[in-house]
Amino acid sequence: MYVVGVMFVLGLSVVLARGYQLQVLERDKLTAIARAGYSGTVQLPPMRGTIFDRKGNELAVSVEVGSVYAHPPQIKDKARAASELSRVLGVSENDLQGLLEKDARFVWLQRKIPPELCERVRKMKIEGVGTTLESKRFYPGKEIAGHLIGFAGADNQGLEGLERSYDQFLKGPQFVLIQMRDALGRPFFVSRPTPRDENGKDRTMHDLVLTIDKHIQYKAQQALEEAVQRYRAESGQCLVVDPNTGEILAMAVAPSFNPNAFGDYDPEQWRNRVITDAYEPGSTMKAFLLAAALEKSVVSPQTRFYCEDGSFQVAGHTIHDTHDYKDLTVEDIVVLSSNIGAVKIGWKLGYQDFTEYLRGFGFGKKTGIDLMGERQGFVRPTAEARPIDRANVSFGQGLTVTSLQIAMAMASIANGGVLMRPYLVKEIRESGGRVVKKSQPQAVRRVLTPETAGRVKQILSGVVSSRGTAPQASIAGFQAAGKTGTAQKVDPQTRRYSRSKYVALFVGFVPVEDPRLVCLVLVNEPKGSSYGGVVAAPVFREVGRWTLNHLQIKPWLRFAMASGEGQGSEQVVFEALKKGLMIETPKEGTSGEEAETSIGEEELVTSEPVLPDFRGGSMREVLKQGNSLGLRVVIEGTGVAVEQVPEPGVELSRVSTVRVRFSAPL
Amino acid sequence: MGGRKWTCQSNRLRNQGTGVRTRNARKKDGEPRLTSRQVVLIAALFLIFMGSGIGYVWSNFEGTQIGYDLSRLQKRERELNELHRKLKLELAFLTSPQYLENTARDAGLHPAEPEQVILVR
Repeated sequence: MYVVGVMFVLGLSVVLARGYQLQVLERDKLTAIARAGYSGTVQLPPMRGTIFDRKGNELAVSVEVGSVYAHPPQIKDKARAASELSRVLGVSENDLQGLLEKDARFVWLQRKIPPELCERVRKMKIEGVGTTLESKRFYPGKEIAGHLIGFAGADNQGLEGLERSYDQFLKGPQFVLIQMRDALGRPFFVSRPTPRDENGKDRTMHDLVLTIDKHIQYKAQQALEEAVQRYRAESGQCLVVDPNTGEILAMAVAPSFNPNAFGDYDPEQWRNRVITDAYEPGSTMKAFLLAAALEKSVVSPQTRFYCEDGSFQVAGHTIHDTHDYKDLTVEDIVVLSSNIGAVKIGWKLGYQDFTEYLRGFGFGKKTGIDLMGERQGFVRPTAEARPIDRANVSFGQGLTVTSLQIAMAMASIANGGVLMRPYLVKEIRESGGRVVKKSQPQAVRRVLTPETAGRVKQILSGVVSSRGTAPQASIAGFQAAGKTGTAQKVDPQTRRYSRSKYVALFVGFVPVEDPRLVCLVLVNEPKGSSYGGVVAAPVFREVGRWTLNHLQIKPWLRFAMASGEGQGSEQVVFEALKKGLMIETPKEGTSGEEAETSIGEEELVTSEPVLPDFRGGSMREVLKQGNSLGLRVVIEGTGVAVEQVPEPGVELSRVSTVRVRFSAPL
Repeated sequence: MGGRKWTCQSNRLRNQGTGVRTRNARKKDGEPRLTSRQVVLIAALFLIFMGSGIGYVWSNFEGTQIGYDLSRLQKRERELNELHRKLKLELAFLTSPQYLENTARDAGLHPAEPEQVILVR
């Protein structure tokens, strides 16, 4: 019995000792072995945040795609593997075999292919060949805003444009899943994705909401490319800005490129010329010369200067005008774009004062836009300015600027004298939707008083009239203003101004009374014609007209050119404006003789306008007529107008809304 | 008694008449060993014991099954989210201005002039 007892006790002791050894002494090691058998981590491919336009349309999106890789040392029959893979992947068998025979432990066979192809490769179960998930960037707008958005590389890093500027926000973290598997390898517990960056810290992915409007961008791109093609130009730029906030609505460059296939283009073409190219702006500077001179009260719009019959010697150089002007007012100097007149205004103002105003307008320094590669341009310091420099700066030579600087400076005139900081990103949001950063309009400084800005605006509207240099920039139903520029380029070989290479510019804003957009158009080295008023102004008109319609900005001015042009018709227009009368507009480009007789012309001369009788008209007719009168038309029913409130004949000045009931015709 | 010696203690534990150890003595017929209350108590304890054991095992099993379901649903969630992204991308391509314009032109449409567009508010 003792022996049995002792044996039992000994046996139990052995069991207990072994248990102590396994559960206490070797606990950690054995736990790790067990855990490795049933738990593991899965890494999801890092994504990039989405880039939206201001209306929430996707401009850049990342989705999961598959990639196929191989461990060449593990593949026994490389030829057979290459043959089988070639059938599925659609890649040359020789190329695949070359990859498989490489002296490397890991090779990519094909990256970023449709997941269905990856699945087919996975089912082939070729030893040494595996598949994994990666993310790929797509740009559904293709060439739309290609220069602006830029592109991301194969490893999800931003390389150009906003993709690069905001890489730290857009680049998503590596998501890690911790999962536990049963004996059959089926996961029975998976943790929620935990975002980790390279240092193991928590990080989330962000989306960008831009100030860009996809449709305005497309229209600007399209109109610009047509102009560049028509004039066989080297390149072009079109920029649309909200002058009141500094938001960039469109930034187009031609020739464009498709960021989905950026490698197919020359890197030179990736350049966002709106900020990277600095050039001599030519006569567009006269707008800012005018502003500075009026602000300093050294001239008034009616101050006269003798324009030397179109040829003027300064410090051994001859300055020419396009016509042999004699006496011109300051207003005419700008509207007719006289270089000689501008020089004399500049002398009156003084080089130092003018360049101070130029710097005030933002020239010679970066605007601070959230893009990389911005040039600051150059404004010659007073101490370094020779006599010829002090003259030609007045008509935009001897200094360099970027298109963005010109547009923002013009925006400051348009909005009443405040220089705004331009920006492209409206919001930065977490992928869940929470806004982490919201951009607000930022005023840099006040450059002009509102009164001076108003006077400059009125004078610049003359540039877009029939006597100015840019009648082709006029937009039916709106009063536009701006300035043309036809700037000679410097020939790098002769280091003199070229006689054949020009930059054709137009920068303007519309509507004059309440500017909603500033648009700059630049066509670089056009052939056939080089005038800004001929080459660039029509693009402004097309983009401006379309944008105003897209933004649902109602035309407020519809005027008829009465027969017998000149001052009389303009007086008719001013009278119409005072009385608030809306009359049908002629088509653009038609002369007064071809213009249709206006509706309500008689009322203009003799009596107060009254609400017309809409009854009997179709819905289209009623809406069109109501809109042209500046009324809000509320429609009820369909068919033909049978009733209206207020009744016809009520004074128009007392009516803002008219209700019209329609009924099906009997 | 065959020469065996019994201790006093042993004698006290044995029935003087039969010599059988008192603890082994057969109980008299007719005397219940446990009361009904004790039986109920024992049964209840047994049920609790068995129930907790079964419950523990069952909850572990259910947890594992739910784990399977959860991981399957999480995978499905990821797949659906990814599908959603891809569909949004496709929608963005199909609503891109270039695609719409080309499709409209193929259908014989042309851009409306601003004068043809009437705002209805």
